[in-house]
Amino acid sequence: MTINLLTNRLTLDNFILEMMRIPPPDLQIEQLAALVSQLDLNDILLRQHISFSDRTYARKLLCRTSRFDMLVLCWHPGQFTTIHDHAGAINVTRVRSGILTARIFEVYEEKSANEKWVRLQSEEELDRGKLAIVDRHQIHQLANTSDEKLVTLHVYAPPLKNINVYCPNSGQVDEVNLTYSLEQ
Amino acid sequence: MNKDIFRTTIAIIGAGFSGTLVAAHLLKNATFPIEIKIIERKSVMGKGVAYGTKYESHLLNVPAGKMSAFPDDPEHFLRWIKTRPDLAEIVKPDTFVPRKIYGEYIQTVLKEAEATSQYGRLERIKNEAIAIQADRDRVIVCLSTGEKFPAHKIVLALGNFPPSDPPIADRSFYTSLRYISYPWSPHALTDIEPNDAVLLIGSGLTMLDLAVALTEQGHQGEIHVVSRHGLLPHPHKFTKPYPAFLSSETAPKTIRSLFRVVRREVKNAIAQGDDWRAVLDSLRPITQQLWQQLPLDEQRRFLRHVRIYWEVHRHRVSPGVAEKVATMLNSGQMRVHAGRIQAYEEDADGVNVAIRKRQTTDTEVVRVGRVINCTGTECDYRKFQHPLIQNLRSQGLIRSDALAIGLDVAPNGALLDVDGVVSQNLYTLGPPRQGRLWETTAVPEIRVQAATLAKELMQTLSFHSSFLHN
Ligand SMILES: Cc1cc2nc3c(=O)[nH]c(=O)nc-3n(C[C@H](O)[C@H](O)[C@H](O)COP(=O)(O)OP(=O)(O)OC[C@H]3O[C@@H](n4cnc5c(N)ncnc54)[C@H](O)[C@@H]3O)c2cc1C
Repeated sequence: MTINLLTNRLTLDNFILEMMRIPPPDLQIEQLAALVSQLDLNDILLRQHISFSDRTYARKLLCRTSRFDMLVLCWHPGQFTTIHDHAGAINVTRVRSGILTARIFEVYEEKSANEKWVRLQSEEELDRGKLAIVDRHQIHQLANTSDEKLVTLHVYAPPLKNINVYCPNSGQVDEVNLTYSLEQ
Repeated sequence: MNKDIFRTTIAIIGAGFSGTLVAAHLLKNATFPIEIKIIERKSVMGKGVAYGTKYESHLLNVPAGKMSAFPDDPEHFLRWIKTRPDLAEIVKPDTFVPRKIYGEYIQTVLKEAEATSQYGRLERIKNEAIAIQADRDRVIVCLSTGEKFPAHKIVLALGNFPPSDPPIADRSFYTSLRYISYPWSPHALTDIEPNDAVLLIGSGLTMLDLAVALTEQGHQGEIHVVSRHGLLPHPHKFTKPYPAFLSSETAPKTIRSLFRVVRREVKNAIAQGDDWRAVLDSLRPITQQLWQQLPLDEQRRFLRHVRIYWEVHRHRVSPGVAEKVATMLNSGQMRVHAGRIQAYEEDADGVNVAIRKRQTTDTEVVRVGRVINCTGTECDYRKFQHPLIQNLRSQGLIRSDALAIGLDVAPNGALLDVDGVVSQNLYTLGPPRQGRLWETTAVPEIRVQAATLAKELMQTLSFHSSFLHN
């Protein structure tokens, strides 16, 4: 049975309260997934952060606390992320509308900390309401390979400061600092 | 030396009907070793938007007897049908077959061509092409996962793009889960309560698809339809062929006179007991020529004033679908509004949509649980944000045609760059050729283009390949 997205309602405020109740070292990825899957996806605050950008997917910070970041990402058809990992943070992504392609990569040759050769291991398509769960060091890429616009909601705990980006052509691994735009 | 260096590679981007058929022709007719790489971003190859539908009630709008993938083998689709025990008995040449079955046919066409090919080798790549780099006599195709490969020729078979959201002052409703911006979304009709009212924007073939899909899933609630003119496509009817009354030489070169000539002919035909459909169908063989000999201003005039009438008469709907829609209209389940949407007002349980009626100042408010954008596909390439299109645009490798309803192409399908120079290695077919040909989106046109384009590619490459091998 499909979940009726319009009657599934954990407000953003209540989500924050729930998250603040769990001591950070205890936070399990399953717990985070359970909370994210109850979020109200028609929430007006979330909707106000939906905006698309021409050059690449748009990333808007919805809320930042000492324990987690919540972001909304908006993707035109064809837009995609780099191949990266979250340098130790856990992440749950929920599809709000559209279809998300989540690709997992594996290292097949590790020359050094800065040279790791990766290749595609598996790929999954997730539609409305579904979750992509990314553990601490999983290498992955997200993309919109459908014909429709895609909106996804992302929670990272602890807040993401940097990620490791993998180049499939040179094997190079780069640490990249993240900055978010806070404007609406 | 590595023999593979000399292998000729053709990359086809997009595996809908257009791309798949080009691949099939190349495989069947290659006279020297070629490698064909077909790249499709969706997990299903060979179906595209049109034939990838999951609904049984989405029927072809052309009878089976006219849907062969090969122009020189008109019975091919019917013969394939005969191999299917579930279809052989029920499908006749005049049957309108479900589109998803046609998708399976296209997939078989490719598989057979692959299995029997003497020189061709096919690689299916499930990925997104994001950029093309020019590299002397070759081009490099870049994929979203970082891989790259060289090709001697590239066919852009990118097909149909999603519709744009209808313009409105306050766009905030477009972020609601009650709004579906893409009618072919697998979720367009999920989570709808069977008694909810639904609003479909647009009244063409896409709207009919959504309406019959609602019926298929047992929907009971009201279906509101809004479009500027409120005109629905006409149903098909089998008619006896009408003799040609116009030729490209005798046809007037203005829209107004053309329109007048066709109208007069329709009147005469009806007086003699013929059907208007037969008159329009008699124009089919020369429509592309008629279009091409119109001056640009006249083409614009056609798009502005005549297009809407042309579409509802020319792109007709199968009798089965027409019957279902008639039932919905007669029972009052479907209501068609001619007008424009003025505003949306959403609350927790639904949305009120204010519609200003055509040529009046009256506004009617309908209350619905879901709004679906069924306006036609967008074809203005200047608007597309797709990485590949942006990349081609920014390098000046493509340009829109003068009407901005497709891409500028040479008669052989080669793309024109921003300066109007004909490309030696980039080609397209199908919907992007609309500006040049007007009629270019249905199977009867695309199958001819695919065959011709494959021949063109092979001819230009055979010179190239003999040059490389000597
Ligand atoms: C709903 C619908 C119903 C139709 N019904 C009929 C009918 O009954 N009879 C008839 O004769 N005609 C019909 N047509 C018209 C015609 O058959 C279709 O338009 C035709 O299928 C177009 O095929 P295509 O391959 O050009 O485009 P599409 O089917 O749109 O295929 C293009 C493909 O390219 C892929 N793609 C695009 N960009 C990239 C990229 N960068 N990287 C990788 N892949 C990419 C897309 O995912 C897509 O699968 C219908 C059209 C539609 C839209």
